[in-house]
Amino acid sequence: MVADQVFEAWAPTGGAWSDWVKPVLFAAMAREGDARMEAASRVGALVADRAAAGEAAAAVAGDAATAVVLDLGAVAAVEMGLALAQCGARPVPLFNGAASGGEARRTLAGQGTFGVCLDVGPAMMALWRGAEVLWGLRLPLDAPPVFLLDADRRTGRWTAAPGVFDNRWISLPTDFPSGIVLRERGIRRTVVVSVDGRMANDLAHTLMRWQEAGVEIWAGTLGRSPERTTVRSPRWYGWVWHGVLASMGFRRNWLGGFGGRLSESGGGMG
Amino acid sequence: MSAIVMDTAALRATESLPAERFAAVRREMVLRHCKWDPQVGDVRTLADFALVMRRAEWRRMARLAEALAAETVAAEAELLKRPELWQELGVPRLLSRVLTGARNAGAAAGGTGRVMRFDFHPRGAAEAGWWVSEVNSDVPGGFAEASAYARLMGEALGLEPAGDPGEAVARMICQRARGGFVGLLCAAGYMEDRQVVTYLAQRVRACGCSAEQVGLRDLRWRDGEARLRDGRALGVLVRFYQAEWLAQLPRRYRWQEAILGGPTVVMNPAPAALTENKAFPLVWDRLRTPMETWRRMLPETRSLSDAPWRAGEWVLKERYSNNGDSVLAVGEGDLRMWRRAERELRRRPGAWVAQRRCAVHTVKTPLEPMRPCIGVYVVDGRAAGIYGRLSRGWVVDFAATDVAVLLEDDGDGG
Repeated sequence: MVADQVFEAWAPTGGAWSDWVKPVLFAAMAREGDARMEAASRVGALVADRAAAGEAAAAVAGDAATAVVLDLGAVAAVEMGLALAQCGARPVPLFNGAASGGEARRTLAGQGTFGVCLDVGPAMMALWRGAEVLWGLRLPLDAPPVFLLDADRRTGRWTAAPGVFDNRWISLPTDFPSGIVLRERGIRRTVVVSVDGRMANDLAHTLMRWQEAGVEIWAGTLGRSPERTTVRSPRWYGWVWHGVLASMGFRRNWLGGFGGRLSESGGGMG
Repeated sequence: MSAIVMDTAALRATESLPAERFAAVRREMVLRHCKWDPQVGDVRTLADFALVMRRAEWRRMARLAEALAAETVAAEAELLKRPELWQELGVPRLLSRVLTGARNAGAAAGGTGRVMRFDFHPRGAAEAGWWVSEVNSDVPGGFAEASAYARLMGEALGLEPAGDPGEAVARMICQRARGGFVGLLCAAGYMEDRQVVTYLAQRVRACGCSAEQVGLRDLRWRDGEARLRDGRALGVLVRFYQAEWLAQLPRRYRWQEAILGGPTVVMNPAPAALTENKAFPLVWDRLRTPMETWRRMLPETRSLSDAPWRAGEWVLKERYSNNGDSVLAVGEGDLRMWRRAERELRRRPGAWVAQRRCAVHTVKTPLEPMRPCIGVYVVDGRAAGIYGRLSRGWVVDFAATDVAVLLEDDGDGG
């Protein structure tokens, strides 16, 4: 397996949802090198329990008119996405945190990743391994989407401090297809699966737009079947770049754009 | 105002590449050339076709861009010595202090290495030539699209790009670094900025210099020299971090040094913040520096209070705006946005300028007729390549479509 094949597995040419796959972690895999990624992806057991993911997936698996958003830990999201792929859905990774570099090397050396707000190494390895599963499934190009998010994206696991590579990120409505596109493609319902059943503020901006476009929103957790819900207008709803205020201490300018008090830039390998 | 579809040989669109061929170009861009935002909402940001321009037209644009760059650098040098004009530009107070430091240190506007990008738009109606709507003087981006993407599309179509600005900038950085370490700085959380510095770091390394992304808090400053926490000294700090953003950080981050530099060369230099300002044209009449090329090419620009902008035909720009995020085309956008806009314009009218919307050609593309914006890079005074974008409306923003601009021989095409 090489990086191009891994990317093609997750974002197949001509796939209905391939354009939305976030490429940053796949680019990091290409930088790490195919042989090193292949070896590193075989190291260690899966963090998430694939059987449990399968059970949970069965509870939320829908039909061709259902999209799923998995707002879980990154590896759990990948594993459950693959379990839903077994049910005929297409996982769409939206992980948007940059790698600090050397993730595969550290995995092979049995070292943890320190000095990075968000360790994206496990997600990279899970995506690499998952490519084989997806190749084997031969999903139809228009299979309904399962959007994968990392629930730790806004806060990270490590506190931002001097010398720490700050790769936190937020989910924006522009990371997803619009509600209009969803409906045009036959999606009438979205099931959101989160760790605690609560809707992350950044994600609520997207879901609110989908709801306004006529897409039903359902919410659940790994252990609880989803129930229909109504998304309430989140703070700063309608501003173009709402999230800069929400998660990073940025001050939104009047259009919600850049400007204002900024969080500090982190360092690391480019 | 009507836009005229451009069907001359000066600028034309090719057919779309076959889907499989374009998929390979896109994959190469996202995996190896740091194009990490190929999709914004429902918009594909990489066009599967190219724009083609004759070489003679490119040479003409290159000369114009170089003349504009020379005037811009000269204006910066004068502006640096004339703080009475800074207030008119709306330069933030804390940034003014840094500029005072730059003036006292005798900072040369172009002496530390310089890259700018000028946004050209083809004139419509009966006029020939180009408008130039602004200069991205402080932190121009788009290097991967202008370099790698243009090259890949050129290979697919059998045409050449206008240049490789990524290579030109990387060489400039390495020359200034003189074998030293290169740090690249951007704001956290902005993937669109992170991808630019990651790409530049790749290009710098390919030129033989050591380069890494750094954070402000990783740097230890002493007498204008930055060192990393492990003691390595920085030869160059590439500041892909808007000066006006930095000026809003707490002083303990030592952002002042990250603008001023010293033995550690900071690119772009501090005076760039003066011409990045969209109100820059409002002070031209008070400069001794002749701005002949600029005056010929810039659409009429006024302060908000002097412009009858409610009558339409104007584009409103915040003085410090980036990537079209605070630019409004009067008559475009929904009612909710304009209600907010009205409030903001009433609250801070001085923060905005109005630029007349001029007739521009649109180009027939495989998608639809679109407005081209031809960003011409000037690196250390020499034109270095083109960053092409296409927009459906008057504002070229983060959701514009990137398009490769390629050259054909003067006798070809049509």
